[in-house]
Amino acid sequence: MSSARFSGRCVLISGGASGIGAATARMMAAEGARVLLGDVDLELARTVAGEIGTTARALHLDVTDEASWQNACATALREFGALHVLVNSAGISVPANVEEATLEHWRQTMSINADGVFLGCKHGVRAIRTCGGGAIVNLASTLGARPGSIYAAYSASKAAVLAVTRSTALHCAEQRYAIRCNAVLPGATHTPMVDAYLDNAPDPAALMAQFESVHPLGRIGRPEDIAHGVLYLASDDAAWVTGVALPVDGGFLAA
Amino acid sequence: MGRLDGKVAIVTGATIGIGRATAIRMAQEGARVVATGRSESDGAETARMIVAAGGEGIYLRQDITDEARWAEIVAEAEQRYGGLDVLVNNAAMFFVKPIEQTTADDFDAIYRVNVEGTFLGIRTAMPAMDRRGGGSIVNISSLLGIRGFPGGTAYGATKGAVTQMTLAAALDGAAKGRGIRVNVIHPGVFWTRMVVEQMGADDAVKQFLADETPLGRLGDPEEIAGAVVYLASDESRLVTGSEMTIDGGRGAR
Repeated sequence: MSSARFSGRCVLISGGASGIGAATARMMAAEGARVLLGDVDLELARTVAGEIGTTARALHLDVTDEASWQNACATALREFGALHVLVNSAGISVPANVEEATLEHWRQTMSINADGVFLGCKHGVRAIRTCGGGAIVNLASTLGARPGSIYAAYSASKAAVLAVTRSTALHCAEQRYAIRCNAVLPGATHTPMVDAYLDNAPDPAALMAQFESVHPLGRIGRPEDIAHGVLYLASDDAAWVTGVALPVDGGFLAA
Repeated sequence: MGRLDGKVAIVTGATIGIGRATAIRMAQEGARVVATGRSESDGAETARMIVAAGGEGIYLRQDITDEARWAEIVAEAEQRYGGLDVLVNNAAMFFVKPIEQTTADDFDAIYRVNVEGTFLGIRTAMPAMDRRGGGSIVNISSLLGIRGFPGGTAYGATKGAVTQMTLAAALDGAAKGRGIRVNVIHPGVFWTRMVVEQMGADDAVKQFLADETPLGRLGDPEEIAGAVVYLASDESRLVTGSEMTIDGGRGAR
C-alpha cells in the first residue's frame, strides 16, 4: 500500500535546489506531489525541477525577504491551484565560536535560518489555511537542541526554529486551521553546506572522522535519510503529530 | 510494494488497541507479524484481521514478564519466518492512583510489566537481530513518562524508565556496526480499552480529554501504527535513540 502518499498535494520547498530540500522534492514528487522549488540559486532550482519533470516548478526565493515569500505562496496558489505542504529547508551554517563570531555573522545566520523560517511559517499558514489545511515541516538541527561550541550563531538560530515550530503548531491548533507544524533535527548530513565545511577544513579526513565519531551509528546522514523523516511528518500518517521535533541523527542526541 | 516487505516483526500487546492496529498495518505493509498478548480470544481475532487485511501473521500467547516465554516467541519467529527484524514493545499495564494509595505491590506489578517486560524483549530480540545483521526495536512509552500527571506516580515512573532504557539500548545496538536501532514513541491520550478500564466509559471524560488536546480530538491507534511503520522501515535507517511524540500537540504546550 501507500506508494503515493502525496498524490494531489501541492508543496513549496525553500532551499529546494540542493541538499535536503532537493532530496525532499524528488521523493515527494515520486509519491505524487507537485513541487515548487524555491531557492536563491534559481538556475540550480530549474535544473532540479527539470530532472523531476512536469510536476515540478522552480522560482527565486530569498527567505529573508517577506515580499519574496508572498510571491512564492502566490505562485504556488496560481500555478498549482493550492498549497498543502511547506518545507522550510533553506539555511546556512558557517562555524564560529562566540569569541570569533562577528555581529555581522550572527545577524546573517539569524536572518536566513530564523527570520527565514518565521516568514515561511507566517505566509505558509496564510496560504495553506485557504486550501483546507496541511503541514509545515521545518529543518532544524541537533545543534538547536544541543549547541556546539563552534556553532554559536547556528545553534541559536536552530533553537529559534524549534521554538517557532511549537508556537506555530499551537497557534494553528487553537485556530482549528488543520495545519500541523513539526521539525526534523538532522545530525551532520552530506549536503553542499556540510561538504563546504569539509572542503575548507585543514584536514578534511580528520574532520569527517570526528563527525562520524559523534554519531553512534558511525556515519553521517545522506539527504535522503533526512527527507524520509520530512515525508513522514508531512504525510497523513502523522495526522495527530504537531509541535514535535524528530531527530534523524544516527543516535547523536541519545548519547 | 510494501514499505516493510521481507521483514519479520513481533508486536506485543497486539490483542487490542494500539498493538492490534500496529500489527495489522505492519502486515499490510508487507511484514510477517507475530502478534502476542495474553487474551487468546482477542489474539485470535487480531490474527484473523491480519489475514483479512491481506497480510501474513500469527498470534502467540505471551506474558511479557515470563523470560522463558520470550525465548520461545523469538525462536518461533525465526523458525516460522526465517529471522527477526522488528520488535514492537507495546504491551503495558496502566493504572491511576494517588501516591498515598499506591502500594509497593502495585509498584512492583507495574514495574515488572512495563519496565522488566520491555527489557526482556530487547535483550531477547537483539541476538536474533544480530543473526539477521541488524534490526529495529520500537518501544511504546507514554507522554506521561515525560510529563507529570496526578495519580501517575507508578505509571509515569515506569514509562520514564522505558524512555531512558531506549537511549542506552540504542547505543548498545549501534556499537560495532551491529545496526540495531532502538527508538521510543510517546503516545498522548487514546481512548483504548486499557484507558477506558481505568477512566470508565464516560463520554464526558472522553470529551474533556479531547477538548484539552490542541488538535481537538483523541488519538487513533492507526496514528501510532503509521509512526511504527516509519521506524520499522529502512526509511529511518539513520534514526536511533529518537523520541517521537504523537499526542495531538499536548506536549508542545
